[in-house]
Amino acid sequence: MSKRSNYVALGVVGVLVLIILGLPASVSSRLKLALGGLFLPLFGLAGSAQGFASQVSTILPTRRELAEDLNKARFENEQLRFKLEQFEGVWRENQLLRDSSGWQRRSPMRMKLARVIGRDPANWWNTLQIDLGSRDGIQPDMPVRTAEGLVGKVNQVGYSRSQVVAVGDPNCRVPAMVEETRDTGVVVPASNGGVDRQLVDLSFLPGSSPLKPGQRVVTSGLGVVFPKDILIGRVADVRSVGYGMYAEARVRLEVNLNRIEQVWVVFP
Amino acid sequence: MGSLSLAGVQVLFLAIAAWLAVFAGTWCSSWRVLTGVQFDLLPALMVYAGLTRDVWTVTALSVFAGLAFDSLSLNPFGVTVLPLFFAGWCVYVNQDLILRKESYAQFVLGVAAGGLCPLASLVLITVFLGNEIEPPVLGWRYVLQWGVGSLCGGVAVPLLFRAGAAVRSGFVYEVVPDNRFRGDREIKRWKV
Repeated sequence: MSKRSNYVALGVVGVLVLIILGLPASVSSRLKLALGGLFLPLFGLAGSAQGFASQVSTILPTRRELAEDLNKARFENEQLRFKLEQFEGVWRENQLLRDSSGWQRRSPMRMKLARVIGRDPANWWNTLQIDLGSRDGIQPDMPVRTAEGLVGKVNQVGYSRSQVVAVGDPNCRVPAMVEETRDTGVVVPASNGGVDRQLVDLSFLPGSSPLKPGQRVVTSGLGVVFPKDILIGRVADVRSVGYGMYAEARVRLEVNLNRIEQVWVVFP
Repeated sequence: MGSLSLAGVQVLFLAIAAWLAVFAGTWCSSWRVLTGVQFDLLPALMVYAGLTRDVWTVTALSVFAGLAFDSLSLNPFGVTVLPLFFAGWCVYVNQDLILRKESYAQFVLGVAAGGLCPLASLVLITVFLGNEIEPPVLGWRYVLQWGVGSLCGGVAVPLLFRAGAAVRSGFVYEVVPDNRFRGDREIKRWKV
């Protein structure tokens, strides 16, 4: 192959990349979703394989193991029913108090369960792919959570899959509040880019806030994306910034983002 | 099977390998849980293509693999194409000077590509980011990711050569080595 064709190829790729990078955001987003569709058969195949593996694992346990599991599940069910009864009482009381004080009633969250089918192949982002899309009513900026706590928000929506930007990614800033002290701040990625991905920063806190390790950090409900009182994590340590004018806390996330397999998408 | 169709099989092998490599990077979470880093096989694949194929295959593969990678990532669309192309192109241009059959040469090239491709992508991301997304936060975590990514690239190139040889052996007859003896020195036997 001649030297000339080497440089022609270089020029072709350079021009092509400049054209693609110069496309409007809406067009490149559509192209991304279209090309991502090439992977749908593989995602489907992987999902079926996982389903088959879990079916096989339910066949293998012995009668004794199954009986033990059943007893455990019955015990947990009893406990949860008891908690639910208490919760319903508190909920009714809360609604009555809200009515009497003229506050707007709080409606319970409407959620849809989604399976995590992939993660960002690039190491510098923190995103997930889920198996719900526009056909399931998913829209950008919907909050995503698990029973343990907040996961992130929906970023891009395809027909049958969506991309979720997780807490700890620079593109998912969460207005948050320390539950005990009621101090509000914003959860941002760890500023030092430490090795532990479970740590994020809670910044813009008042310098006088009496924060202690172990305190719960929840969503503050400020802004339009995240509803109030979803657990984000717990304070790991606190440091003072700006000559004591502000404080910044490191927060250990409650949800291990590397291990989650299912998430709930919260509908407005 | 003729040489043209064998070339087609090899290009198809590369395209399928790129498709699977991007999917594996998205789907396999056990390696990420273990090391905190996701492996990326595309730089290694570009080195393999640069050492074994022509410049147009390298071009087509880098465009396909780069766009496929970006389609599943938060990266700006198309930003991964150029680093992958450069990895394959630089290897291709110096193809005759590289001891391509030596495993250590393959390892060194894999380490270099596995380390330089993500760095180049990061530089391009910060240049072409636009206003829609925030830039990634870099720190010690990234140094670890970079180191593990380079090593993965180094290990992957010799493995790809073995896989490529296995695919090739499925489509062509094994070449029988020439007789070491000269034809006129061969002992002829016949019945008297």
